[in-house]
Amino acid sequence: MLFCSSLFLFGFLPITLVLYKITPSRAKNYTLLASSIAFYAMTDISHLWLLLLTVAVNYILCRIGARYPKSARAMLSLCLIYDISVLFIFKYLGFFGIEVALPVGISFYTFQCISYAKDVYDGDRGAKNLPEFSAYITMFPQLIAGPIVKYSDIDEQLRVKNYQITDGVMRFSLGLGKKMILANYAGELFIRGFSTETALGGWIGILGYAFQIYFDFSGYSDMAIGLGKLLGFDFPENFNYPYISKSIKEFWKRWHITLSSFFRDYLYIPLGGSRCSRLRNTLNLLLVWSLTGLWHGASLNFLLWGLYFFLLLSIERTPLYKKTAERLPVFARRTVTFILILFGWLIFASEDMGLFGERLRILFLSQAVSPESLWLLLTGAVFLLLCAILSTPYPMRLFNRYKRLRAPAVIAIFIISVAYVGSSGYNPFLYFRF
Amino acid sequence: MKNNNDKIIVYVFFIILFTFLLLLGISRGGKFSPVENRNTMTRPDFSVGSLLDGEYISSLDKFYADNLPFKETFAKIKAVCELSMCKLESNGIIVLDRLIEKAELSYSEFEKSAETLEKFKSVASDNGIKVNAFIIPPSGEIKGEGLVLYKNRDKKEKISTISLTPDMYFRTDHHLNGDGAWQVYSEIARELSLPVSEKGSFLLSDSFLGRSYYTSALPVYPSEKIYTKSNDLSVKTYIDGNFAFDGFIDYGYIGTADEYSAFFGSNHAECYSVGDESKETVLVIKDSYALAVCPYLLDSFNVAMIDARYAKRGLAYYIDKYKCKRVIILCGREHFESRALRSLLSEYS
Repeated sequence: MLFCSSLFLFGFLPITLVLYKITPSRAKNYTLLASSIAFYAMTDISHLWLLLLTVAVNYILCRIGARYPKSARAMLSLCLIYDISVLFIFKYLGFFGIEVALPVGISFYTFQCISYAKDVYDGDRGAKNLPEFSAYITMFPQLIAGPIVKYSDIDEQLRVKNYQITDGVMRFSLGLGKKMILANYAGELFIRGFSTETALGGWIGILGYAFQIYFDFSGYSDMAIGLGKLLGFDFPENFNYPYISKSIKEFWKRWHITLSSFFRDYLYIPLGGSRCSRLRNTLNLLLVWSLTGLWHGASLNFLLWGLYFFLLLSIERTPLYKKTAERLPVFARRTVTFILILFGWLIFASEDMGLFGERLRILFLSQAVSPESLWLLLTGAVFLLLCAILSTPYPMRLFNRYKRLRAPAVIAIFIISVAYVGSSGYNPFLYFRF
Repeated sequence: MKNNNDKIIVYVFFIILFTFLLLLGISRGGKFSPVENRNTMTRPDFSVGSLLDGEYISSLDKFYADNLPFKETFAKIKAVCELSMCKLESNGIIVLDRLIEKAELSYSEFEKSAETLEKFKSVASDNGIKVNAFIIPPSGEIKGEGLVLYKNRDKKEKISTISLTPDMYFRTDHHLNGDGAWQVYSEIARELSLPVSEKGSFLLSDSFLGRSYYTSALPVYPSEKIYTKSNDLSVKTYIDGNFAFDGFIDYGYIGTADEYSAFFGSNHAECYSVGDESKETVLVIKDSYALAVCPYLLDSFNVAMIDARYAKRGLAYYIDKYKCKRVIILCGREHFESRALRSLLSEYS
């Protein structure tokens, strides 16, 4: 069940909010847990058992580790073995030709379990009881698409809620708008652009994909953060205008921040980070970026996508690059970075190398324009420009400066988003076409 | 960050959420939607089995989407919003000075159909049956031709691809308007050496909004008028063998969202309009493009119409049944390229 479905918006969400509101403070986590389990069951009931089992196994092992310090290391190891095995079996067996249905949200909740186990091992107090831990792992706003929340991020709020209703509604509405108004049409441009088989269409397509993935994912994160605020939780930010980055390093500080933080805190730093030999550091980075790529799916293109960023980041670390980059104006650095990101998306979006090669050919070696691609430009140019503007912080600055206009703007975005949701079931069928 | 003005956002947000929750909660669904010309989905039946296999939630999701209140208004809001972003398309309809449905045409399919038609003509000719084919181009296409609309691309010698101008189509529908229908008819009349009747000036509807209008959901196009020749009530129309109405107009459709279907009561497997029984009967293999044209043919013929998509019998049956010595294929280009039409013709061949 997606946040942008009618069933969620006009069924699950209002019912959950009412139940949550009328539940006494001490029992709110139970209501949250029950509604989160219901949410998961409505989304992917066939894998509910796996979610519950993962929660139980991680909680029990962490409790044992916390109670018996001598066994802490062994318990952490068992947690890691369990979580990584679950992830491997359900997500990566496809690499070996064995198809297993992918449980919804597995990449997110296993990572949260891993972060929890490591934090408890490092001395954090952890959850008071199983329902509290379960509520943390299964919390429906972030269960299926993040952000990846560390236990320490919401530890206090599991006990004392921090409601931010107005901010929550605004954030949710803006996220819904990103997803419904922008991401879907950007995705259409991607498909239609490449189908023209012209360079112009290809570039429209790749721009469309860049905006689709950004507005889709950041919109979903905004909705999750907004829902968190309605329920009394402050989730970490996941995106910070990544397309204005002046370097790839900066991009990864702005894109899917909670994933980058996870790999930094739970893999890169424990492996030695940058405080080791150059060779070791390079190997560490190679591992981190390979896994970052593979986290997105069991496919070669994701691995290559991760390695592509490893390569770019390695180049950025060289003195020659640093000197050259310093001399370039900011606009040029942003443009170059954005173009490099676009190529990254081309790898990311191409399930196999044949398709990747074909799309490269379309971008660089095909006919420049066709009537179809010109039509696409005519109908998509203003939209792409709008997406580009909305990918920068300036609209939000205006939004925060002119407070009187904020309410009508958010209401309009919410109503238009609902209109997009509502018109998905609109299917005029007056008479037969012929 | 917050100010009091922002609280109105919260009120509006929750009013919308809870109003829709209530309306969808009490809805049983299954209501007729005149614009969509169908019943909406009914609330799915609950069972433990359907819950466990995910079917119930999936159906409930569809039920919510299908029965959302103010769906047509939402579609209009979406269309206007997209238009304001200069997206000159709405739900697959190209938005220019008129609404144009994208046509999916295929040269190879056209060639196949042309070949099948030639064979059919040859066999029919051996049986003393004359065959004429008139293919009506789609009201607009961008594939291959960019924004060159209504261009006649096919120069097959034995097939008349009728050249029409944009103003001969409705602005809110892909069909021919009164001028277009008469233009096509006069082309047919010339080809068949028939006396050409005058263009009809009977106003069938002055508030017509076509399928492109409803599909695009753009509320910015004015309604149009449907002109045709006057309804000859001495003509009896039979649909699928049963008497349906006098004349060629089914007035039941007037005032609905589907007024074009008033011509012969829309598409049917078999429709027979007969006035003077001594007149020759012509068999018209047609689609909905022909509906506005066929009233003119009634001046010269009794008209039996069959639709290849729904025809329950082979062509030979209909030719024998109506003792036809002339067959006219009168349809849009997409229908001409369809497999249904080819199999109907080749079965006779």
